[in-house]
Amino acid sequence: MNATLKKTGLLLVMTGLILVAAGGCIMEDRVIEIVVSETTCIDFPEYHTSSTFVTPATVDYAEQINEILMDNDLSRDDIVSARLVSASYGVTDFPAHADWAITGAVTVQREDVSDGPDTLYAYTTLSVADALGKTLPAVLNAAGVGVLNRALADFIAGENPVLTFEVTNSGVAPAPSVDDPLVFEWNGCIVIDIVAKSEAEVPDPF
Amino acid sequence: MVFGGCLKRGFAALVLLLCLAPPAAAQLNEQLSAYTGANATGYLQPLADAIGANLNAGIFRTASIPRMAPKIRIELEVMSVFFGDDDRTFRAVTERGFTPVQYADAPTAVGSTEAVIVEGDAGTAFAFPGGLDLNSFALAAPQIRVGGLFGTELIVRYYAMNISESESEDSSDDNLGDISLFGIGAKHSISQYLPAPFPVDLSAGFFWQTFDVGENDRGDRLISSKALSIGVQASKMVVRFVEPYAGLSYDTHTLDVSYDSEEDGVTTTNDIDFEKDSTLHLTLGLMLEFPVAKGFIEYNVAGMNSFSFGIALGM
Repeated sequence: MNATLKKTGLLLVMTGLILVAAGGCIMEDRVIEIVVSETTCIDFPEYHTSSTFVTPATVDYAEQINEILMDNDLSRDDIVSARLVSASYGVTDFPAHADWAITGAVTVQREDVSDGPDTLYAYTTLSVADALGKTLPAVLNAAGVGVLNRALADFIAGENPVLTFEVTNSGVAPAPSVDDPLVFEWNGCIVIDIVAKSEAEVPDPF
Repeated sequence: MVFGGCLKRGFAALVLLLCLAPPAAAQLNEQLSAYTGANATGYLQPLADAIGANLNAGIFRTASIPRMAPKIRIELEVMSVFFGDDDRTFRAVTERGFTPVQYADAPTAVGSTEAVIVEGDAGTAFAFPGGLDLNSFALAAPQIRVGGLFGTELIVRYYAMNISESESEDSSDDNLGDISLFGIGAKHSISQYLPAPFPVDLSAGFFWQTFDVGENDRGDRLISSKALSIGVQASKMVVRFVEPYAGLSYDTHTLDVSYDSEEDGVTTTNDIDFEKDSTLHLTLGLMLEFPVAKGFIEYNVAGMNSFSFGIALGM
């Protein structure tokens, strides 16, 4: 009986040791597709004395995406796909003044290659006062989205896209003048989803 | 040098056994940042259920408690669940201003590693992150059992540790966060009040636990969990050293998750409180009661089924 006891005790201890030795099997390697969602906002300061104006803002898109990747310990090679999710806009500063209603569009074009300009979204009789402090969803235009998505695809392929966004305003009511200029600041934001491969060790013992 | 490597590996394996959760938690924090609200709940639900099932397993075991005789045991046990196909996807909804709003069967935390992409207006697309592709999720717990006073025994679980991904002691960059488990409960013999000979030993007991794991971007706890089990047990030594047992208990479990996500360029803190989960829990197990070394294996039928096994040393 003592021999049986010893054997059984040994078996129990061995069970523990096997568990410990199996440490390498507890952790499994996985390549997981993570989603890095990033919002990029561009400021447009406006000071105009006429109803038609153009306000450009150029963005080094490659630099922006590289920063996003760095923040998430990823490299360009890890990216599986990247696409535009949505866009929005809103007024960030509006000095005390009677309201203005503005009409126009935001266009996008590439600076590094010939692509665009194409309309990303339009705004019609937008109340500057009402848009203050708000995030308004933009109804996107396929042509402008195409410019952005192609820029993202080119970035994945190794290029360094530079984009220019332009506010192309066509109407203001009431009409501004030298004595009563249109003054406000607004921004446009785009949201992109980057799907990237991330290697991880996860516990999956059984 | 080789021996040192083996020791290091052995120690690492032991740490892994005790701390299986933090690496998963760290990866989850990364995955979760793409989600807010309802999606985060659906994404984590199978893992939340698994933590609850594991915490409430392997606690009481046999019902035989000496009325007045010292009993002390140091125990190490592993509790695990297997995930089924139903656990691998959830009904997710698009976020981040994506139009039109769409629903998709997206991977949960334990589901496929591949992201799911849906197409929207004007060439836009929305991506749901992949999961960790887990077949099982296990927790380990060291436990001490002291008893033999008026047919009562005290059970305590405890460990706390900081886990780092890096092997270098100097590195603090890869900190996966703390893990801590504390549980306390008691079991009391009912058999002592019943006329002898009663065909089986009977006992009743309760066990309360708190379990915290991982670290979010703010350095706070990623997952905090509490569990309570109240139940009755029956066992009988059918042959020498071999004691089958069964238990029926009422389990509750709560889980809170706190993580950061970014929307419209603003980082927001998301606090998710999972609904209190209550379930009846049937345990069927077998205990090998040798004089010093003991071993057990059990299967638990509850909201999520689990199994548990372990070893114990002591009287």
